[in-house]
Amino acid sequence: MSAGDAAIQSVMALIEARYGLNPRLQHDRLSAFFADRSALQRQNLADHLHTAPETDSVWQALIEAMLVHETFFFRHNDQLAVVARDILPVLRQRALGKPLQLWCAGCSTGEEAYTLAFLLRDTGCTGKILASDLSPESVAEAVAGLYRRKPGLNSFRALPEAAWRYFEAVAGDGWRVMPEVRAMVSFQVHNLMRTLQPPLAADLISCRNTMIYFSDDSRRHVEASLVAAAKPGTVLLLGPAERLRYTDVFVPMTDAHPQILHWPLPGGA
Amino acid sequence: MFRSLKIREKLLFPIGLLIAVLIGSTYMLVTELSRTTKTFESLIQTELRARFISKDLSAILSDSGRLANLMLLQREAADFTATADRLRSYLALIQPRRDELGRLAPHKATALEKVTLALVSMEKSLQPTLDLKLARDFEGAAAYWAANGRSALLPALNAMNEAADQLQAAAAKAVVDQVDEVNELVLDLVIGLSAVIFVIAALALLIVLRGVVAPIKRLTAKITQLSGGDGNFELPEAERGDELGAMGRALLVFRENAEKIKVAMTAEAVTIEIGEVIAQAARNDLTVRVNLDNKTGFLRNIGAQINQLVEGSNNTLRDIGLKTRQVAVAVAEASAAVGQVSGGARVQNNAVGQVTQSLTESAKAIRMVSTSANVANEKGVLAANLVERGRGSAEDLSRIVEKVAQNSRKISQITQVIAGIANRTHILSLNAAIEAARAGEHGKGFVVVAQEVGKLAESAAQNAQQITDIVEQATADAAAGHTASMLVKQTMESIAGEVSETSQMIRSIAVAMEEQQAIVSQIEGNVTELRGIASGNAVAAEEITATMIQLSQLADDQRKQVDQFKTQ
Repeated sequence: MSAGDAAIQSVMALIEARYGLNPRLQHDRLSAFFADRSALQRQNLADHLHTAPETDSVWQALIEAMLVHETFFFRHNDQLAVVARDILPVLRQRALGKPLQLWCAGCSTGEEAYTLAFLLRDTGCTGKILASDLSPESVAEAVAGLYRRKPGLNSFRALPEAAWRYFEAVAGDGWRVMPEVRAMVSFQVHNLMRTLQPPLAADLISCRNTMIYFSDDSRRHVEASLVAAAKPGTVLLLGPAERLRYTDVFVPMTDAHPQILHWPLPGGA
Repeated sequence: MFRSLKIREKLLFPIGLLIAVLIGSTYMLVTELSRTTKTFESLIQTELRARFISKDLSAILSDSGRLANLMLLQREAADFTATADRLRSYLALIQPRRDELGRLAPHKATALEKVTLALVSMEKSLQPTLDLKLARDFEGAAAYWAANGRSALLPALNAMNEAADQLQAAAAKAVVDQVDEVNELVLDLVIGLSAVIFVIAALALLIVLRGVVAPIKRLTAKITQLSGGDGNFELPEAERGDELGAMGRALLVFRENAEKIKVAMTAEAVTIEIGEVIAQAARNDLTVRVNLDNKTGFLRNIGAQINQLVEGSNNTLRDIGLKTRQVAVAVAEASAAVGQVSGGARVQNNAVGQVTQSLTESAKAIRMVSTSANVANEKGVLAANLVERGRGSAEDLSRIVEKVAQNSRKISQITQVIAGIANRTHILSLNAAIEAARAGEHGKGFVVVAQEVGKLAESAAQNAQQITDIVEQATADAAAGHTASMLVKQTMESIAGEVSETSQMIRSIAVAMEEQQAIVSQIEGNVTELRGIASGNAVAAEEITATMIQLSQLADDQRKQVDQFKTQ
């Protein structure tokens, strides 16, 4: 192993420690990030990263380079249909008129958070959505709420026809989420390895296709963060290949949809 | 008939008989006692009452006597008058008692007569005695009472005491007689009853011995035999209609069960073995099987069924295991493949980026080519003009060369003349030399002149030759120049044609380049789109990679779980 590779390995471990990203998935992107540098430069960069704080510009650039922003509106619509049909009405009833609090953990460029907002409006629920992501750039994009219908796998690939009413056209084939929907969602830069600040007691947490990027050990912290933001009765949505390894607070609500979990209320309600 | 009666019925028969006898005896006893009671009652109501009244009369008479004596002793009128009144009231008690006694014991008429006499005498004597007392003739009163009143009292008193004693004795005798009678009866009853009970008990004993105990003993023997494991006996008792029959039939069942138990006992080891198999299977070892060779009956069936169950579980789990491993492998491969796709997508993304860059550069190049083509076109036009002019110049040149050739030919002619002159001069110089030689000494100087003239002629000839050579050369050159200029002209003409062709080509190139430019810029746009698509694909592929790694982990977890089962 050359000095440069050792530098990449050490940065990988550092990223895993700080942000929990699975080294197995980091490798290609990190190699690309280091690609144009000589072994000495790599070592220097690694040394810099080891001492620099997270707010450092190199760190920020590295984080942006490491994250995979794969998301689109109405992703895993089967699950969302169950949420709209069976879960939101129950949560609304339980909230006794108070607005629901939702948390979209790992919101990337915001499509999923806005999708939750659409669902709330579709089902006539009032509620607030907190959406968080590690990437400031993605969060900025999400706040803007402006999406382009570019060819290929764009954000609208699974959008139902009826949901177009939540968008307004802007010049250049761009579509912006309606202001009243954007007002329902607040965005925050947040590292899932730490608990949310200020603390939250969400009625529903959506953390889908986020934990797949975390290494096994760091998932312990992620799951702790999720539990910290939950209370008895909280519903948790996971991605298709994800499952909780370290906590048994959440259990699947039904066998038919094991990716929809909840914290059972005392008394088995 | 008797054998089909139940033990209870058999025992009920003597007991019932016994009860009937007891009831009969009791009835007799009760009747007798009731009669005795009645006898005693009548005794109490007649003899004893009569005795009581007799005693009462005796007491009243005695008290009357004492009151009369008291009265006689008293001296105060008020005192003895009161005593006389009390005596009267006593005497009043006598008559009803006497009457009752008369009814109860008419045979005591004599005694009663004495009582009546005493009463009458006392009643009659009382007033006169009182009168005497009032007259204060106490002596006379006492004498009068003693003579009239008291005289009948003692016999009556005695008669009453005697009657009472007699009545007492009669009553006592009646009681004794009655009691004797009862005793006799009871004795008879007890003896009879004892005999009957004895007979009945003997009967019952017989029944019990013959109908119950003996069969029970036989059954017990057989049960004991069976408990020892030997079920080889006849059981006629089973056909009985009584409880022993039921017992016998139960014993038949026991015998059957004993057979089964025997089978089960002998199969205990087998059962333990089967249990071991089940336990091992429960500990996830599905390779175990029940050995069916040494087993028969239901145990063999159970063993076979357990084998079937374990075999089925084994096959299913092995199948699941295989499939899980397959899935794990497939997922791992897919994961790797997706990783490669992801890497490929990134490479593709980069490649497309490079293509975009190349396209931009080639568009730039095309623009440059296009510009150059235009410039070339202009230059071509210029060149055509120049060529045209060149062609003219070549023609002029050709004409000049022609003239040069003509002049050269003239010069050549002149030179030939000069050469002839020089030649003849040379010959003249030679002749002069010869002539000078013949002149000798005087001709020496002339020789020199002749030599000089000869040299001049020679050099003239040489010069002329040179001129001829030059002119020939010039003529040849001119001819060549003419040929060349003609060639130049031809070339110029062909160049002019080619330049115009080239110019046309360059114009078409320029047009083509413009088209190309438009196409390239369109391609550029497409490639930019392509880049967007490729980048989206790359990102999606990365997410799929992450998902596949998760799936691979899940598959691995599942494989581990299935691997806990040991299958064959």
